[in-house]
Amino acid sequence: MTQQIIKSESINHKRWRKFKSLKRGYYSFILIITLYILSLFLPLFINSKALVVQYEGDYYFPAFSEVIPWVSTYYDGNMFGQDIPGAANFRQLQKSWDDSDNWLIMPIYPFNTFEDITNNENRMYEPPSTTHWLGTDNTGRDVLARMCYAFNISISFAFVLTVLNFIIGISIGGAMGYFGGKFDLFFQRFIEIWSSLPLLFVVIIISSIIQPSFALLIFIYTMVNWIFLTYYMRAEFYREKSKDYVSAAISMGQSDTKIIFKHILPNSLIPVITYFPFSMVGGILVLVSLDFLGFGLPPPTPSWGQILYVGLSNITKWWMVFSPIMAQFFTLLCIVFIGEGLREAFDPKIYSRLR
Amino acid sequence: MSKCTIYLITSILLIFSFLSAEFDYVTIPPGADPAVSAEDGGNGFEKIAASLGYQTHLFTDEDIKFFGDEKAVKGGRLHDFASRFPATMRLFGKEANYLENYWIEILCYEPLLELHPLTYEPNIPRLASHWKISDDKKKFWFRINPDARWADGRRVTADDVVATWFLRMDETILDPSQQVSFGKFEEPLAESMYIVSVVAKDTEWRNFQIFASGMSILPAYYVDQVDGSEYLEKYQFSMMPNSGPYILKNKDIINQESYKLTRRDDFWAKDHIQNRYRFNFDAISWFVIKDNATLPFEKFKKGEFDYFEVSRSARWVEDCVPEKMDAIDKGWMKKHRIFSDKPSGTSGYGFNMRKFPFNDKNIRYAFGYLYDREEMNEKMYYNEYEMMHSWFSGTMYENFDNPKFLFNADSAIYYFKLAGFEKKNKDGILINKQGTPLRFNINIQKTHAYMVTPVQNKLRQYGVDMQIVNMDGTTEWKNRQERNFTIYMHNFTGGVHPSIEQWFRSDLADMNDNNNFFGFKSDRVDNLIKVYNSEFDLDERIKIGKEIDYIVCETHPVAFGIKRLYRRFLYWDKFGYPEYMIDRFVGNRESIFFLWWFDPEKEARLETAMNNDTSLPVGDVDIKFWPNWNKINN
Amino acid sequence: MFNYVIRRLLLMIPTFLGATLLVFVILQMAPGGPLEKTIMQIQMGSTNGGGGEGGATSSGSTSGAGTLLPKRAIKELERFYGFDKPVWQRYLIWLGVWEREIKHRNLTFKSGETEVKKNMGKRRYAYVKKNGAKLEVYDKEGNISTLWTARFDMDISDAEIINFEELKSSGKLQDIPKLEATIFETEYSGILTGNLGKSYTYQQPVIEVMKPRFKVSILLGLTGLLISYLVCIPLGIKKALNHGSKFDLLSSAIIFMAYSIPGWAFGGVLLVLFGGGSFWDVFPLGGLHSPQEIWVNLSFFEKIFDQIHHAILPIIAWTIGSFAVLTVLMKNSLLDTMSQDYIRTAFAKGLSEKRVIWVHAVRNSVIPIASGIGHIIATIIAGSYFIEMIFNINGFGKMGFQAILDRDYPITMGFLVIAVIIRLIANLLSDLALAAVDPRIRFK
Repeated sequence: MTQQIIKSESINHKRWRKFKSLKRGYYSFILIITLYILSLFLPLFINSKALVVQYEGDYYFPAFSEVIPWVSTYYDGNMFGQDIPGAANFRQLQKSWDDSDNWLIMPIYPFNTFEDITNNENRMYEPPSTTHWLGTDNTGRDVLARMCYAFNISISFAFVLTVLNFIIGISIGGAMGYFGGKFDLFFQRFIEIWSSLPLLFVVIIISSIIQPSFALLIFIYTMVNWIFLTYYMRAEFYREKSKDYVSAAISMGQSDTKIIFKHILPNSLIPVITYFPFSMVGGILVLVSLDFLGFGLPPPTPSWGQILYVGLSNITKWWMVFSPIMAQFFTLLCIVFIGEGLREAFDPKIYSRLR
Repeated sequence: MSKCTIYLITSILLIFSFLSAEFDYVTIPPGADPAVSAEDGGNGFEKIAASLGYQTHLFTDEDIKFFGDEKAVKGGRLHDFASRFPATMRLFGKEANYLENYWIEILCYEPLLELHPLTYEPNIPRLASHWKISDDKKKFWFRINPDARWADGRRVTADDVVATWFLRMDETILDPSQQVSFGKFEEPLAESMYIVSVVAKDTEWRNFQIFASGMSILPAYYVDQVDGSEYLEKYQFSMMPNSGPYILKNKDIINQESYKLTRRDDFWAKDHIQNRYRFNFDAISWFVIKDNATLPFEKFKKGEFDYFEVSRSARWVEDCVPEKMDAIDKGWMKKHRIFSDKPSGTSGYGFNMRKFPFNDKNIRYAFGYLYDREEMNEKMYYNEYEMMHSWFSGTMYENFDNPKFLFNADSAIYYFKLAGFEKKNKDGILINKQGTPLRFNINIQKTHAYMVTPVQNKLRQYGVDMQIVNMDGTTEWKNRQERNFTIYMHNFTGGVHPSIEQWFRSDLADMNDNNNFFGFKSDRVDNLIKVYNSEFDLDERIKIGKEIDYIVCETHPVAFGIKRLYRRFLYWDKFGYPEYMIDRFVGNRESIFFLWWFDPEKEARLETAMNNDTSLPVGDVDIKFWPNWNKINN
Repeated sequence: MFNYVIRRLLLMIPTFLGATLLVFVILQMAPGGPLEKTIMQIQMGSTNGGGGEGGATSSGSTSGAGTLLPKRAIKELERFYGFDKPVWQRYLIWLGVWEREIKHRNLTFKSGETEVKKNMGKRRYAYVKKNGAKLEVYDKEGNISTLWTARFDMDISDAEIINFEELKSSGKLQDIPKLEATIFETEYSGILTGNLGKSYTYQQPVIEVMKPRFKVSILLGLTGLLISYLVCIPLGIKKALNHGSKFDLLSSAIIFMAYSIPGWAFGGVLLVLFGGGSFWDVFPLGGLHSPQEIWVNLSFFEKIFDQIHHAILPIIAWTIGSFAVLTVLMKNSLLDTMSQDYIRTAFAKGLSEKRVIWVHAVRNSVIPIASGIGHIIATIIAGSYFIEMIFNINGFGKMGFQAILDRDYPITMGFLVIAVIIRLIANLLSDLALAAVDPRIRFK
């Protein structure tokens, strides 16, 4: 028992070392993980709310309220003696407090994703400038802020979706290929029926009953997306099962579980692992496409697809075409590189270079 | 292969092309059937028409200039595009109530009378030369012009009108609006070959117009061959012989790609004074481009389309400018905002007055004061629009004394207070004494989101939480029909003489599936609508309309939005057109089909200029013929 | 083998029924169906196209602003679309094993009437007699009509219909002035009789709508597939053989970059750049060939040129993303195979490198690609809505998407039927392909 644990640890360790040695994938991994973790705290970097406010002796931390889920994010203007309706405008406060005892610190990039033309400083279709680094969109919202928040949403969406797909797809596909027979037959029929569901229509129907949300979209897509993996897993298991080492294991009377998890799965996982990045990429693209078509997350949720939609319908506003395409390009590229590295690291075989 | 065979094949092909030609032709010389007496509308009717009580329109120099320009020349092909391929080329019946079908109808078929371009009265002879209205205004007689011929050469007769009415009333054509319109009449009667009469069931001013100018006539000898569902089937993409100036040939219908109308040289009324200078293009063709915002414009710039209507102000102000478009700078492409008296329709946010929070008039008022359309117009629409203050915006029924709701935070706060919303909760949302927050959903289509988010933000600043729910159009509509909404984006076109009852009749308020979305109820308006429908005097009707307008605006079922009283056109500088460019009330592309022509001189000039890269004169952007005309004439 | 194919073919039947039933039920249950859409179209008249933005009336009708629809009319539309029947019956009708009612007309029996004469168009009459709660239809000669059937069309019970006069005179059915009935023709027409129905939006038989689009999708899809296979398999092999080399790294970077750009967005940019509207005039602005009027007058070679000229940009946009998947799959699979014992053995036996790679290794590494081929074909047939939309190509994808948005159920179902059949056959083919390349796989 103990031996096995040590052994498996060392394998993982080896894999990690191998992965680290593949520079392209490793740096991409570091980059994406860092960016993603940072993006969880985006309200502290890109926000129109101040990080720290000192007003008449009291300290406030408005930006932090957005990172902590259970705290109200609303700060009324009157709270800081500002004569405006609704929420406080911290950028204005900062200006007006130039020569008073009150002070505040704004985040590095002092705009949020929702401020549009109703905010006096914003205008629509502003080209990139030192204030709005990537310009503004068709309602005067800051494109960079929206791009960054959308990054967080896209990655989270794709990751959750892919993990769920893999769990379901691998187990069902593998079981089909391994057990074959009636089980295989039944699930093949089931998959054939299930995969004929017009996905978009399901999204449209469901979104006409319930407001589409992050979880709902994940749920709908998982329902259908796990299928593509089963094809490959099934084929892989079929192939592996007919190999001698499996026959040997069966004849030795090993249990199905052991054969599956110890023998076949590690071998069959390789081609599937190469699919992980592609599946992540697919997940990101799904969200982009859905948002582009208008069946994604409800407005005014920031999303690349929505920006691209605006950009492609106003093709002369190049920054709205360029930014989402580049952001997507960059993100997907990194993910693909990670996947490439992962695949090599997980590969139990050492490829013999010919000669 | 010898020459002989080629000839043989060609002649066979020719024969086939004749066989497959649209119709089976006959030739009947112009004039009435000699067997029909003058009293029955035959030869000599014109002389005794007045004594029989019939009237007709006498063209004067003043109004004839609104039927085209005498400089007009025939020729050329107008290249246009459509955003969908018509589901059918029929005039009516299922799926035929689209603009494309209407264009085919007005270009290929004829009603009895046409609306006068200046007054919008149905008094311009088309198929009928004379008409008579009984003293109780319920019975109408029409005398068919004996010269009128179908495209296959056969006579147009009174029986055609009867047959057309029957077909339109057949419920199997699955077009209930036809039965609603024409069900207002008893069965028409062909009193003779040329006289047809009809009795309306009620005394309404609209009836004469509906029957005379709202019913394009089809030939009875074709109509009688089919019942409603066979009509749907058989004439889906083919035509019965028509009587109008254009014809749609079967070979010119390329499914899902394009279709083309060809001018008829044998149009029976081509020399009539009202048609002489109209219908100038030899052909008008539409190329279909679906769901694509950029492609049509790119194709227009490339010269594949002759003109382009710009619907978005961003494109108009940002892209269609001399600095960015060489063709505009050099005057090759003309850019106009053409003003007209076409009603602007009604737009804005409609409320469900049946439920919280908009059951409270104060909240509706407050919303009206917070809806900052001026700011949106300035910051998003380049000041291209005007503020709307009336349900009948841009028509003669508009009441200029209506209360005006423009952004005013103090008023909004005052009305919120009246409604009991004074305090804000910790999220900055207004709450009333029971602690209910001022929160509601709006269902919209994704493409409209950009118009709603600024409103959403503005409301949020003042403590109103409006959540956007994305929905596809049909579902949104369904919810609205079942009154399952709080607020919606209201956006409807209006009529020159609007139909009011469908919006505001009180008994509709408690029923689903009608256009009284708001749940609007008012006894006064109910009475006014009754009078409005049966009042023949236009001035009286205008008075009633204005009163209704005031009541509606005061009740505030809709927070009015923005309006536009012009159309934005770009076109390559090769057209000739009358000085007014578009008809007074029509105000859109149809006028181009009717009134414009290709000017050979301008075409040559444009070609030279483009080849030599020289400039042409650039004119004014705004064409305000009709506003100026109104100033002089009223 | 033969038995296996037969068995698979038989298994397709339950799958087919299951898939169509599932989608059929979902479609029928969905809110905002074709019925509502039609009603909306009539009631709405026309809305301003651009929403609040002043709006061009590019859609909608001419009747100013809509019509007030009587309840009866709504019921008639419901009947036309068959929504007056329960779902299971509708499915059977769609299959073609239950009677479909067509050409409905309304009848009314006023108080005291037991026989009604109805104009059935084309100067024919039907004579409908009330017999209890049942209706009998006779033709002019007095024979029972084989063409028409009639039934009462009201929300009251049979007993109430039979005793209508009595109940009415006793004041119990006061609010019902007359008995309403429907007369109609029936026929069996459904998928099993080869009738996919008629599109609601195109008003054409579904098959007619699909035919030209099939050609388009096959042309684009197969060309795209061919190109990507022609590029990816050799590329994958070369990359595997030179694993870790500069060429491998560089080509990986390039295909991954290509993969990271969404094809349709790329297509949109290409079109604006090279379409000649704003920048360079190199390629035509959309479409799959020149407009029909020009097209029919072209010579054979001009047609080919024209077709290629139009297809280049869409195919680039179409295939750009698929290179990476296939290449990487091919490469990994080959690497995988190469590390296996039998390859080592082959080398040890002294077989030439070429022979080992091409005969033994490559053959086996095509398996994963082969097993995916069914899926790929199905995707191709389904078309790509985005590409078709951007390039204004009337393909399968655009039709399917539009049908869903337009609630065009016959097209949606027809699309589904075709897609399911193709997928089933493609699956079978990929299993057979799997067996062909890998002799170790046997079918029982």
